[in-house]
Amino acid sequence: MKHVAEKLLTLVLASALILPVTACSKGKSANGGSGGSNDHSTPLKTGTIKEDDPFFQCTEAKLDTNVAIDPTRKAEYTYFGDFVFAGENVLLNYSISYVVPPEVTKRMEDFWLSPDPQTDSEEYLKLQKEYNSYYDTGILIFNQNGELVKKMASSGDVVVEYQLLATLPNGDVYLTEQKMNPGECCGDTSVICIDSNGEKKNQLKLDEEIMYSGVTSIFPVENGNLLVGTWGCIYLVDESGKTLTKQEIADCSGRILKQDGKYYVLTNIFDMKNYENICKLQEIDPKELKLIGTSYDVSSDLMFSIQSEDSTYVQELDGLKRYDLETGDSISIMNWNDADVNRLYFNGECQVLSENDFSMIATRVFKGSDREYTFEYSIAHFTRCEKNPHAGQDIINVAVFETMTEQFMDYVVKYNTDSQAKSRVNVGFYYDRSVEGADTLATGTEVDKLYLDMFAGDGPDVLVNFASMSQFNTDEVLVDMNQFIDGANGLNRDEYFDNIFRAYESNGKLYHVPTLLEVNAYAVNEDQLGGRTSWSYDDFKAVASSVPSDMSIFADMSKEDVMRELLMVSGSAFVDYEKKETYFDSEDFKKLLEIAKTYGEEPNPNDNIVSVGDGMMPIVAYDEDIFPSAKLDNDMLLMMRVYLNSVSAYAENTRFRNGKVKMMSLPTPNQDGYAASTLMSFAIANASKHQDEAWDFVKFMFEKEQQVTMATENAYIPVHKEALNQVIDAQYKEYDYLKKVAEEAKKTGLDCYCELEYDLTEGMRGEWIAIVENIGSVSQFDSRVLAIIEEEVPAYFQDQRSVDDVCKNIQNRVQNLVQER
Amino acid sequence: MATNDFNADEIRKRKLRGKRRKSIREWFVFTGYLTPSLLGVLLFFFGPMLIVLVQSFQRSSTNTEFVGLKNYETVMNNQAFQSAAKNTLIFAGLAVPLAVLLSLFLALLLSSKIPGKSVFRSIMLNPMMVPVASIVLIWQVMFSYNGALNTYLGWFGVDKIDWMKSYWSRFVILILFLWKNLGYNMVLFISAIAAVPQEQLESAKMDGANAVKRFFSIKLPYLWPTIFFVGIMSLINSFKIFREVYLLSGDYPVDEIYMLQHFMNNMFSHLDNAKLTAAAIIMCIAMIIIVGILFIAEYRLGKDTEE
Repeated sequence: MKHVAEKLLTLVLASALILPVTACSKGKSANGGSGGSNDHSTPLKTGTIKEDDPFFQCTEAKLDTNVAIDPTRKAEYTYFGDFVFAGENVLLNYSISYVVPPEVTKRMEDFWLSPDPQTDSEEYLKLQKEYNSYYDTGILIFNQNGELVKKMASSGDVVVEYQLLATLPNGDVYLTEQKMNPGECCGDTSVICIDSNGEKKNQLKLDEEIMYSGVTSIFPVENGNLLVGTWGCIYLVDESGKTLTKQEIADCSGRILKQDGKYYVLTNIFDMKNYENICKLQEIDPKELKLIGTSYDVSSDLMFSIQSEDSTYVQELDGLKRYDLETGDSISIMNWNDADVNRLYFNGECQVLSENDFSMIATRVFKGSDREYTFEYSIAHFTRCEKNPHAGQDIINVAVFETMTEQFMDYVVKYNTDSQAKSRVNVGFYYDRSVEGADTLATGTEVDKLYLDMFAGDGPDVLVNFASMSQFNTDEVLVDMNQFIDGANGLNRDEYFDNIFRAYESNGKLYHVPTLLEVNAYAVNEDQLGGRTSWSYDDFKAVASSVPSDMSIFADMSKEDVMRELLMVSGSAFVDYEKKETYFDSEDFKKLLEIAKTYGEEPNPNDNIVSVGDGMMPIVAYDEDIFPSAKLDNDMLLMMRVYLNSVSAYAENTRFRNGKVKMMSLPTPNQDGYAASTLMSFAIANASKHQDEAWDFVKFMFEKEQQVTMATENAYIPVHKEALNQVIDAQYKEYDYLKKVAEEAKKTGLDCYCELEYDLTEGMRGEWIAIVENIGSVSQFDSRVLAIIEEEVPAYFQDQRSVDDVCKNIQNRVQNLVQER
Repeated sequence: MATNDFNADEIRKRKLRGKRRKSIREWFVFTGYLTPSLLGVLLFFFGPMLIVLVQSFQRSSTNTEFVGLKNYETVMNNQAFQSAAKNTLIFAGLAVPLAVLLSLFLALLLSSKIPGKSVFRSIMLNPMMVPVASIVLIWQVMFSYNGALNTYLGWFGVDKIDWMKSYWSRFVILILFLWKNLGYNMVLFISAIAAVPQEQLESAKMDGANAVKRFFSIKLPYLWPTIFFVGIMSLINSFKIFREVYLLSGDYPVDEIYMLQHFMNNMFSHLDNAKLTAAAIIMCIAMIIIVGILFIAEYRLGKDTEE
C-alpha cells in the first residue's frame, strides 16, 4: 500500500513538472486575431513577379470643380472637400469666396462705423445681400466619368450651407441643410435625404438633442427605421426622424458598422499619455439598442473605415483591407505596390463595389504660374487584372523611414512604368507612432525589427532616410556605395558635389548616399570675426572672449546643448572606429568642454515675456526685441543658429546687421567646413540578392530631373551640380515674382503680408554654391558615446570635477566601447 | 538425485529471472524519477551549450558558413576582451582567496567560546537577504563622488576620491563581493569545523600541541573539502558580480571593473553572435581548467583525511 502510494505521488510530481509546459501557447485576444494592432509595416514580397500575382489597373476621370466658379468673377478662396460616394456618383461640398470690390467693402465698413448701425434696417439687409452674393456654397454631383450631374447651390438671397453626414449602401445621402436669410447669423437646420442624383427624397425631423450632439453616421435597419450615431449615444428613429429609442454608450464615436447582418458600435478614447486612439467595438441589437457581449480592442483605422453593403474596409498606408469585425483580422484587398499609382494622392474616400472593383478620390496639388496653389480632383477606378502585366520582373523592396514626398512616389511610379527598368520597386513605410516628447529614434520598435530582419539576411533591398541611424552602418547590414558610384554603371563624380559624398563616409565607406540635404550653420556677427572664414576652438575662444560684455555668444543654448552641437559637427576628431582609438583626453576635447561650460547658458523661458493676461487662458505677449534675430541685429548676440536649404534662406539669414553677418559652421578641431543634415538618403542592404537592380533604382533618383524636382518642391539642396544651378534659377525667379507682388500691393494701399525682408542679389549665387562646396561633415554623433559623455560632463559643468578628470573618465569608458567592435 | 539437481537449477534460474525483472523494474522507477529533471537539463543546459558551441564556429547568427577558429582568434585579439579577461582574473584572484580566508577566520572565531556568537552569525547572514537593487543603492550612497564616505573623509581633510571611476573601483566591488558572500561561506565553515572529531583535538591538546599546531595538523585536513567547495562557489560568484557592477555603472564602466560579462552582454546587444559565443566558450574552458585544478588539488590534499 505504501509502495503504491509512493508510486502515485511520484506520478503526480512528474506530471506537475511537465504540465506547465502545455500552458506555453500563444494567448488569443478576445477577438481572436490581431485586433487592436496599429502595425503599419508593409509585408515584403520577394522574388519575381508571376502572372497570377495581383495587379490593379487604374483609370482616372478628372472632376472639373471649376464648374462651381463663376467665370465672371475672381475667386479669392475656394474649398472643395468632404467627398462621398453615393451609388454611381460622387458628391462633394464646395464653398467659394469671391473678391469683394473695394467700394462694397467700404460701404460695409462705413455702416459699422456709423453712430447707430441697425442690423434690422433696410440698408443693412441690402448691404448684407450684396455682400452674400460674393459667397457661394453648395454640393457638386459628378458621375464616375467625371461629368457634372447636378449642382446644388444657394439661390436668390438665401444662403444654403450643406454638410454631408452619411451615405447609405443604396446610394442615398443624408446631409444637413442650413438656410440663412440675409441678416441672420444662423438659420434653420434640417436633415434631408437625397438620392445619388441629388433629388430630395425625404426630410428627417430629428430631435434637437441629436442635432446638438452631431450626427456621425446613419444606418438603415428594418421597417424603414434608421440607426443614428452621435457622440455618446445611438438612436433608433423612424423614417420621419422621430426617436423610438436611444442608448447612451460611454465614449461612443457614433460610428456604426455592419457585417453578416450584425451591427456594431465603435467607441474611441484618446490616450493623452501615449498619444493614440484606443478603439473598441461591440455588437448592438438594432431593435432594442441593447449592447451584446463584451467590447474588444480594434484598430483605430476603423474610425475612418468605408462601409459597403455588408463589409467594412479600411484604407491604410500600405493598401486597402477588409476588416473582419468579429475576429479583428484584416485581409489585404489591394496593396499599393500592386498598382501603378502614387498612393499619397488618395486621401481615404473609397467605394468598394467588389473586391475586384473599387473607386477612390485622388487629390493633386499644383503650383500655378501665378504661384497660387490649385487642387485637382479625380475619380480613380481600380480593376483587378487577370494577368499581372509586370510578370517576370524582379521585386526590389524599398523601406522608407517615416513618410515621403509626393514627388518621390511619383518617380517610383515612373520607374515602375518604364519598360527599360531592371526591376519593380515595392515601397514600404516604416514609422513609429510618435509620442509627444519622446525620441522616435530611440523608441523605434519597428526600426529595431527592421534592423534584426536585415541582420538575419531578410529585410528590404534599399533603405531610404535611415542615415541618422548609426546602428545600420556596418558591413554586415549595408554595402559600401562607393563601389556602385565608381562602377561600370556608376555616377560621374564631376557632375556631383563629391565633397558631400566624402563627408558621409564612415571609415572610408559610404553606407548612406544623400540626395537632398540642408546645411547647419550659424549667422555670426562679422565685425567680431576679425576676418576669419573658419575657426578652430582656439579661434572661437579668442573671438568669444573679446566680444563686448553685453553680447551673448549663443541664443538659448544650455551648456549641454552647446556641447552636443559641437560634438555633432566634430566628425571623427574624437573617435576613430577604424583604428579603434578615442581621443577624449586630447586638448581639443577639453577645449570643447570648456567652450560649452563657458558660453552655454540656461535658457530662461520667461526671458522674453512682457505680459501675461488674466483669466483661465492668459494671453502671453512676447518682446520681439529679445528674439535671437533681433539680438543679432542689435549686437547683443554673437551667433544665431540657421538652417540653410536654399539660396533664398541664405539671403534671408544674411540680411541681419545690414548684411554684416557671416555664415559659419561651429568650430571643429579639423575645421571640416559646414555640417549637413540629411533630408533624403539611400542605402543598399548587404543581404540583398538584387544589388545591381537596387543600384539602378537609386541611380535613377540621382538623375538631374529628379534632383531638380524634389529639391525645388521641397526647398532642399540637391547633390547634382547642374540641378543645384537650376534650383537656384527657380529661386531667383520666385524672388522676382514675390518682389513684384509686394510692389503692386504697396501701390494699391492694401495690407500685404508679402513684404520681402531680404534682398537676393546675383552675387549670392556664388556665395551659396561656395557653402555647398564646403560641406565637410554630417551633423551626427554616435548616440552611445554621447550617452556616456552626457553622464560624465554634468560634474564638470557644476564645478565638481576638473576637466582633466572628466575627460579621463570619458576616455576610459568609451575606449572599451570602441574596441569591442 | 538428478531430479533434485534439476529442481535446484530451476530454482536458481527462477531466482535469477526474478532478480532481473526486479532490476528492470527498479531501472524504470529511478528513470521515471530522473526524467523530468534530466529533460530540463538537456533542454535548457546541454542543448543551448551545444548550440553555442556550434555557432562559435560560424560566421554569424545569420550566416552559418563554417569559419573554423576565426571567431576565437578575433576574440582573443580583441582589446576589449583582453581587458575584460584581465580584469575578471584579477578580481577572481583577489576575491576568492580573501573570501575563503576571511570566512574561515570568522568561522573559527564564531566557533570559539565568545559571547553573543549566535547574534553575530545572524548579522553575518543578513547581506544574503538584501535585494541586489537595495545593495546597489547603498553602495551608490556610500561611494559616489558626493557620497557619504567622501563626506566623512572630508571631515579629516582628505580630498574626495572618485571611488567608482578610478582604480579604487576594483576595491569597492571587492568589498561589495565580500560583504555579500562572507556570511554564507562562514556558515559552511562553521558546520565543517563542528564535524572535526573532538577526541583528536583533545588528545592533541593533552599531548601538548598548541592551538596553531592543532589547527594546521588536525582541523585543516578535515576542512580541505569545504575549503575547496567554498573556493569553487566563490569563484562562480566572482563571475556573477557583473550584476552589481552593471547596476552601479551601466554597460561601459571604467576599465578596471569592465568584466568578461560586460563584453558578452554588449556583444549580445549588438547581435554580434560570433564574438559572443566564442567568448562564452573561452570562458567556459577557462572555468573548467581552473575548477579541474582545484579538484586535483582537493583530491591530493584531502586524501589523507579520507584514508
